[in-house]
Amino acid sequence: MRKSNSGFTRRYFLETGAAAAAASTLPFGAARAAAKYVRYPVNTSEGQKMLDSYREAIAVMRDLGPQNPHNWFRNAFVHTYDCPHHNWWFLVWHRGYMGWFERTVRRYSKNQSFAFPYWDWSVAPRVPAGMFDGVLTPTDGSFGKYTSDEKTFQNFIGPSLEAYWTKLTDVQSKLLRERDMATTKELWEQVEKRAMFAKTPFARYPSKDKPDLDDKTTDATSGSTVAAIMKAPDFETFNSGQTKDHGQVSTDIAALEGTPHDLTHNFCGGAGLVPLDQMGFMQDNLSPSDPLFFLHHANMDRLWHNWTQSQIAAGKPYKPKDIDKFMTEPFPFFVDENGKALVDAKASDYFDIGRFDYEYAEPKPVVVAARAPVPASLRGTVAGAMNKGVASLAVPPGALAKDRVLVVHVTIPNPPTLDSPREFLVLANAPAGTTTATPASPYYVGAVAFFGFMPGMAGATTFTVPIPADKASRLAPGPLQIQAVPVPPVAAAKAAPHAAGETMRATRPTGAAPGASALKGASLTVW
Amino acid sequence: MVARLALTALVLLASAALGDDARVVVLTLPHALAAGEEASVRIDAGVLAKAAAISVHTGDGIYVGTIQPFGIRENQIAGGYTFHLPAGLFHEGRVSLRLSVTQYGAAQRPPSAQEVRGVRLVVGKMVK
Repeated sequence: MRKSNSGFTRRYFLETGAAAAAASTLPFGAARAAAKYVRYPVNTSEGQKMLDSYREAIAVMRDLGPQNPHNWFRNAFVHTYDCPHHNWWFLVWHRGYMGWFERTVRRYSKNQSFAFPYWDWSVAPRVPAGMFDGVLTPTDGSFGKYTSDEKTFQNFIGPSLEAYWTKLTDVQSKLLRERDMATTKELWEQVEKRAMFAKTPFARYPSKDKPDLDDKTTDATSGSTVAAIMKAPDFETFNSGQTKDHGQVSTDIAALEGTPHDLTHNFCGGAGLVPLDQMGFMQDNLSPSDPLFFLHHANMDRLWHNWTQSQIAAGKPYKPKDIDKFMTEPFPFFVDENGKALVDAKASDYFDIGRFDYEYAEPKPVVVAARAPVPASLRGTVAGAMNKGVASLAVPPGALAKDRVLVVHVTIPNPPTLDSPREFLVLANAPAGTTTATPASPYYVGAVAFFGFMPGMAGATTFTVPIPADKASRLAPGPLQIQAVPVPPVAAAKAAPHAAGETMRATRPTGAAPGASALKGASLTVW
Repeated sequence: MVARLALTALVLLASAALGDDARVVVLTLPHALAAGEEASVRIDAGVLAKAAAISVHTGDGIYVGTIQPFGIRENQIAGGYTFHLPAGLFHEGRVSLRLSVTQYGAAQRPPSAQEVRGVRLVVGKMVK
């Protein structure tokens, strides 16, 4: 929740700040030993290496002949023919689609360890930096000979689709008829009506200069939104509604699909933000033409996997109730890494990620259910003594126990003017004079931000920031000296990039005291 | 977002009015929210024009959510979307919601009866 346009609510900051801080600083968990491939967060060194391989593979697939099912755009059309949306096969179909395509990328990149990196938009609500380099963006000039305009695109790929249509199986033909794509003429009509095609210069809406998601999409992908989604009690709630087949749409749209998934697609394609003929690929069913598609869907798949694991650990339902109906749904359009059409594939093939032997590397989830209640001695709040913007907080004995989380609550005056600082780094035990830090710094606890600006907003806002266990153990048991320093200006931030390779946005106004702690108050609790 | 409500739902479309740029719907809680109870609004959207979105705010401008379906075909309905309504949004048991359609190049406007087919207040206990 947040105030529209330029305003904000305290609730929004508390939830988002806490979730983002927790998610961005928790340690990486080791991938399951049994998995051969690891999908890393894109903003890690491992994820960036995967982007290098991905770029190499795309360059090859882009220039494969259109009769080759591994041609970059031919692969995107599989999504156009067959992708389910707004029904309960949405996640499982995309797992299969991505899984096979990951193998294909592995082949063409010649990186036998390749796995898609994932874009966790809750932690980084902006298009990952590397995704603007070369063929990782569909606006790259090298795509121009295929996508400079729709006529060129049709001339290039149309004949191969005509040939494909002559070889359809009965099951494939039936599914295409139900989707009003019985012929390639109807297919192109769909492409037209839905403005699926994007000319090269407009093929992605966010740019390297403006990579940030907009307000509504940032809200839709925030840690607090996703945390609520992950509480879904069963498969039917986590997924959109059951339908007759995967070409139909339900009237029950699950939050995961309807909120972060749909809005991220639409924003990255510029839906509603530019004229129809200037929208990018991401906003409709040729979206896999944008390499960003697979990073977005890797994150969707990760969330489903995490939810499933959480349900299993808690002994709660994770399979569909009408399991036979679900599992036997045919997905007959996938292609394997050797170009073989998998016409007999079914949903049951992809319900578990084991089929593709990958795992996700990510911050270790906090298993709330397994934690003992906070003992009485640790309940309550420890208020901090303030001195010139620095709070001194005593850490109670027992607060660093293995299953406890140390949480600081920092109170910062609301921005008095439009150009006042809105982003602050929360530092603990930083040496005097420290004005900035990266997440890798031992003093860095988290970052908090005011979203937007509401003129005349007086008072202050309190943000909740959990301290990652490894940092808490280094910082405590002595008292914590907490500061909240404004995010440095762009020039300084670029000189000190995040560990993830990104830079912080600058919001500090000209003339503000550099690095002076803005902290008005602080307290400490234990979770 | 409410994961699931043990007691489903009360359908209360207490009043609806058409403004210049929004349809205003006032929802009234059947009773004060008890501990563990949550409120949400389910909005059943119909067929939307390409790239159109329905934005939902409270009467005093708090953002609630956006409906902008992805990947469905022409003339398919967008479907039912559910948004959490924190207790703080209610004043004396009532919340006013403003529903608007936004499209590139067009003024913000109220949704038609075909675009928003129903608005329901859902109250119940969380089960997880």
